[in-house]
Amino acid sequence: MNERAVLRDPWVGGGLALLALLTFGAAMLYRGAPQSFAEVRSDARVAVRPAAFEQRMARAEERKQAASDIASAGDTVEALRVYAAAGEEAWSARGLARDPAEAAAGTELWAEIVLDRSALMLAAASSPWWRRDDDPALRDALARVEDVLVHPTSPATRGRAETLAAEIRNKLRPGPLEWLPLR
Amino acid sequence: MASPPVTGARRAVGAALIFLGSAVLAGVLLTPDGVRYRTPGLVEGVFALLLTYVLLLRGVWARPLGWPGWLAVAYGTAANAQVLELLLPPPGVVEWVVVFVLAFVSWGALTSGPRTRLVASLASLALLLALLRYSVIPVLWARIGPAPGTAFGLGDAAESLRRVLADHEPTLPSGQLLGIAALALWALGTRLLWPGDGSLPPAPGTEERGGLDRGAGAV
Repeated sequence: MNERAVLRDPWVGGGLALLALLTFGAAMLYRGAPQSFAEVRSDARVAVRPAAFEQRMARAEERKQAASDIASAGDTVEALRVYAAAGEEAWSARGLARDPAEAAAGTELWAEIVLDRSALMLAAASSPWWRRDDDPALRDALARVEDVLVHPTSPATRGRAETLAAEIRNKLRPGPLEWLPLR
Repeated sequence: MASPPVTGARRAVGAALIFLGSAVLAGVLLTPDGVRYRTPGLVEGVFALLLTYVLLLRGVWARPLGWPGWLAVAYGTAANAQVLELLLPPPGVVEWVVVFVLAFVSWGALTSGPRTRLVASLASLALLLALLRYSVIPVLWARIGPAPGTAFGLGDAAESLRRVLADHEPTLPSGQLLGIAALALWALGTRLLWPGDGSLPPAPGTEERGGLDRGAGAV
């Protein structure tokens, strides 16, 4: 077979290009193991324009929603993992902001995701009064909430962060002291 | 007008694309807990290589002429492996028995007779494997012994026995539709590589005058 004649055929050349593209897409699909069409869509958008603020924000929103759904289904470990990925996307979006309004929107979304994740960590690390709480996990959650408090966010988000931080600090008190008011 | 070798290359590239689709779909498993992306293990890989060898030997796939033909064979082998991952029973005693039986019985059957019979034998084998994996195992799984965590520990013992027999994972009906689509694509890819229509040469010693062969030449 004449190799050059084969390659000059537009159907063969186009088919080979499509084959290479689809093979790469399949490898990425299996590597990323997306769980929904929304995730595939947001993955593809970020892959096409990785430095676009809107794509990163959409991806973070999608991951946040997916984490919330997973948490509702009862898989806390996977939900925490997906919340972490969502937080990273929102933080990346914040870094790609072109003006202060976009930066504020990115920070706000990141803060919401971190607070959702910390609330889930609080719920997972809390035990009934006769068993010990998972204090390292609680301290980790508190550190994340305190990280939110040092960034400029809306009053509602800040209020939620302060409430959550107080709740975690209360949980970290030894034994029955957590039943007593902090102040 | 394209010359015959180029037409053969077109068919080979088309077959590679279709085999890629088959391989991708066959690996996607929709379960109640989410989507899983499976890749073939060593058993499926070795089996796929043997199957490719038989398909080429018996002239079901055209003898590759140049790199486009080998490309199609490579993607076809990958599709074979993924389809076997889809059809073979999950790991456990059932899979061991099935693979032993296939290794000792089927190769004798697959390497004799006309290639049309080989295709029919493969279709029957696929049907039996699908029946075992998607009907027999799930039905028995739901009925053998009590559920885990029940019957004062007997349920856990029953679960261990079930897992030894077959590490079954329930699938959604839509997941089985993906499997059907994967098999249909595999058949279409094989159809494109079917020799004897002038664009793809038959393998030596595989020329025959069967009903399917006459039909193949029309495409």
